[in-house]
Amino acid sequence: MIWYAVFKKETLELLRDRRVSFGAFVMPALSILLMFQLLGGVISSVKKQQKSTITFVTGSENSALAKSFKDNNIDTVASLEEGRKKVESGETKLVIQLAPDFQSNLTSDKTGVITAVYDSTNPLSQVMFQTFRAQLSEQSKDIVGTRVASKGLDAAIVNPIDVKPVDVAKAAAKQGESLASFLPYLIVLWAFYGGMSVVSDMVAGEKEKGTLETLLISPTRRTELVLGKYASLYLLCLVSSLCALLGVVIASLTTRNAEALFGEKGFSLPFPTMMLILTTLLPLVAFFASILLAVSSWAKNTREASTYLAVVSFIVLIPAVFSNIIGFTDVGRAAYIGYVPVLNSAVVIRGALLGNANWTVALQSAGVGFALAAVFLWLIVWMFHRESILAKS
Amino acid sequence: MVEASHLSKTFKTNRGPVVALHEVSFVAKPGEVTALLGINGAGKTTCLRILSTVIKSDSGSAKIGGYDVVAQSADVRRSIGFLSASTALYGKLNGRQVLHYFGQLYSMPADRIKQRVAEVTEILKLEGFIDQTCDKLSTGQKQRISIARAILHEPPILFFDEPTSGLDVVSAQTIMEFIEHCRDQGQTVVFSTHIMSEVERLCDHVAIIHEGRIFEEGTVPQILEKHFAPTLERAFLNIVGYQRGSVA
Repeated sequence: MIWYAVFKKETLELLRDRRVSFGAFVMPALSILLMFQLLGGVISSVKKQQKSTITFVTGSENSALAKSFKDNNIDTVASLEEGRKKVESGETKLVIQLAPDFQSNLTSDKTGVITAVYDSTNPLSQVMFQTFRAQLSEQSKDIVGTRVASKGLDAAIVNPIDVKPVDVAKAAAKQGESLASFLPYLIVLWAFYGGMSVVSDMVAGEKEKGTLETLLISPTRRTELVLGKYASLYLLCLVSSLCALLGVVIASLTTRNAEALFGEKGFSLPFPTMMLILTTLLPLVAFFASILLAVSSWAKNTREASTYLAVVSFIVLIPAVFSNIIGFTDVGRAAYIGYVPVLNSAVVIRGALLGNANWTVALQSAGVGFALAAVFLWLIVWMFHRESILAKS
Repeated sequence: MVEASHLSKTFKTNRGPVVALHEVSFVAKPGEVTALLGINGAGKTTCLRILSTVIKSDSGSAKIGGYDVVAQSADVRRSIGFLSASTALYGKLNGRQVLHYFGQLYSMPADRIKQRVAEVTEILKLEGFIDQTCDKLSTGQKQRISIARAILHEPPILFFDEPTSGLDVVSAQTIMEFIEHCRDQGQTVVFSTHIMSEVERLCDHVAIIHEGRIFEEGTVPQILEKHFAPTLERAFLNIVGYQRGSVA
């Protein structure tokens, strides 16, 4: 059980290292908290923008139509040309002018014309325009119904096809949709970065300081040295990842507009979802800890280790980044996905958050994660027997 | 007893192979201090690293306390203590934790570790700082904790690789006294240095190593007599072929 002594010593050192408390515990939670606060702020800002940017050309603001937008602040401009300039400058997002005969045309079964000035290159302006048009479309439909009825006709004449939507999304999925797009990415990200912040010291740093030599001179088997260090790093990566999750919980309780991000009921992880996320995290962390320790073992010193780690982080995290946008593709359903490291874990976590637990991919993911961890561990033990690697500093 | 026989080691470097040791043989006996005396880069550290099983020789063999350094490396490691000036301690741990950790690495029972920590604390006068984290210790205090680490498991054979390098006079004196103490206790001490006064003061047996080869071996008086030199320094310069003005 000497590996346990090594584990205890490494863990004690990690706990006393300020970089660990900040980089692996505080930063994951804090960065997520800040990100959600920022998102909440953006949502508030959008809502505010939506409320204040409908501008009517004088004369149109008292129409029945304008009054139907009572949820928005109504502003006025003297002319369409002035409104156009305001839209171009971004001062306002949408300017509406009703044709002089708009109301009379509506009542005489003719077409009422509305001019809407917006800027298609300004996202907020475009959103405002689309929202306005969607609301008008509903009103238009009601007017058509009234007109048809007044002629003694069946409303079905102007409504030949009716779509009855049946949404199969589960309640959990509705709640977790926005979270599911980036939470897997964040959990994966911090499982890696939590360990990356200190792993250079674990072997490369010991080579540099000369303490590794004292370990190698002891009768302890190299495998036990590796296992002790690995177990400590494993724990750190796991805790760092869980801190990221804790950050989400804190954010759900403190963020403005939390309901827009977490759903009306706020953020919650049902026990089975939590279990599935943990089951996915364990092999993922096993893989991350092994590759991080392998890099540290290979490097001559901490500076070299940091350079290698930057490259490795890029390679490892590409699938994690891809997981962020996987919801827009059908890749998540592909048969090979269970065998793509990192991405498979992100897909399982995403599914779990959406209430679609995919145990097949979870098992494939666990198999791949543990298999890769075993390969890298074997590699580290091999390196711990190579004087050309251990003696370089 | 330390028996090195025809040890050779060549390192591959970007500039081609570098011969670090060539056919190095010597014997160090219990109750004696044997010095490997040589300039920087002479091969002293390589020799001690082979003897302490950190690296393997390309050819030749060595026995430490009767154990072969390659075939019985685990037994060799249990029999030796190693100390060098460049060895650091774990800065986030205190001295007691460092000693406890190494006791565990040497598979010592917990109560024996506790007992030995108390003993080395008394021998090396660690009371005042053993519970401070190593980051906060002075160089001399760190070196004393390092000595304690090296002898905690009571090894019969000790290797000291330039142990006083970079230390102040008082700290260096502590190390010297400790080496004398080990010799008096009957331990085998192999000591590498380039400081002549340390050799003259401490060593029973000297092996002068230069460019990876043993050039001369014997007691200090034997070497002085053989080379008609008034001091060890003069004898050393004669042996390594140094002539006045050769470095200009």
